[in-house]
Amino acid sequence: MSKKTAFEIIIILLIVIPVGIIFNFSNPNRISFIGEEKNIDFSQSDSLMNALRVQDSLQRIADSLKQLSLLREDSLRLVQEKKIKDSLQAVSKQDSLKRVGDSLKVYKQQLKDSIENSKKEKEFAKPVDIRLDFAKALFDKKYQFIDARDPADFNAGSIKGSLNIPYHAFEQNKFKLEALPKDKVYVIFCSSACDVSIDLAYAMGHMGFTKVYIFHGGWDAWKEAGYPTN
Amino acid sequence: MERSRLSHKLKDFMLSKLFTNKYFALLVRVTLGALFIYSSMDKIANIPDFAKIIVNYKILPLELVNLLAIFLPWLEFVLGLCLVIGKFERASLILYSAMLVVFIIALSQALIRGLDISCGCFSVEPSTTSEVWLRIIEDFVMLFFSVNLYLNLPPEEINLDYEKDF
Repeated sequence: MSKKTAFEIIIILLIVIPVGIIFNFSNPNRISFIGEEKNIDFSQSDSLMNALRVQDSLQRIADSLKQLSLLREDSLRLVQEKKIKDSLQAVSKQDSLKRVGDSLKVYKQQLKDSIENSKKEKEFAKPVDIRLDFAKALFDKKYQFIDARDPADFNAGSIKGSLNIPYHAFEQNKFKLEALPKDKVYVIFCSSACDVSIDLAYAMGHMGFTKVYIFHGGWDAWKEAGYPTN
Repeated sequence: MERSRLSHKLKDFMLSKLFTNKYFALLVRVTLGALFIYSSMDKIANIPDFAKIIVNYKILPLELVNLLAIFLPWLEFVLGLCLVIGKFERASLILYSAMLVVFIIALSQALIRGLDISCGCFSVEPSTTSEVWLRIIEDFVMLFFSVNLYLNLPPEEINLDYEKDF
């Protein structure tokens, strides 16, 4: 390489540097010159995991209480049946009309609430970042897992029962998401070194899905842990 | 004797006769330049998306990702422009070929490591694994043409005054 060519290379680089700087400064979508570490907030994941543990222990207590109450239930039922019979006899015609009116009021209120809820659902709900332990807990509770990787990767192996919605072909697969109920829990994952799960989770959030979890660690962490696979 | 035969064989392989043709060389140069200008457009318009694509390649420290996202598309654009207008041809072809080699390495390592990446080659739109393969092949083809073009450029005119300056 001659000196002239080296000089030309320097000129090209000297053109590029100021142009890049000026354009980035004047760009409304400008980015900082030094990249920053992406902070994944697992705090919600940890608190949810604790809540899930509390829920499980409460469930166990409830089950044992239920068994105890079953013994008493028979005797109580007999007493209740007697009470109901007595009260039915005591109900007059006017009372029944009043009750019909009350139930209509309740029905109207419920209708109003459901309309408000459906409006709320359309608002964006930020997906929650979760780790392997919480993902496994959600898997055990039979929540739907969604694999955001390409079909080839999905077919090579994925989390058991997961649905493949590749983010790279999001528009073609949008109909699959539209068919899913928006108020259910969904856990989105890809391989460990990827961002498509994040992209898909946020896209789902914008579509109105309210309980979307991003499983960081993804397929690689799942496979390594030896959890159920397809 | 042996060396000369080898050199002839290499030249035949590199299609030197074709590339020394003035019109063919012009066509290749403008096409290569236009391709780089086209590929730089979407990246210049969506710098944050391009930065995200570079992050996904996982070969650069995060501190350097934004710098590359800011300057690389402009380098592509300026090189493309130089090739189209025929200015700084040698320098442009050297940088062009070097960039293609870097692109091929980056794409290949991502495929080998099984990363879910968007290529970020001609646009910042998502691409599938098969598209990444296609991009690698395209980069090889472009590299072949740029290297041949460089090797078959007419010899530099010796400017004695210029040489004296150095």
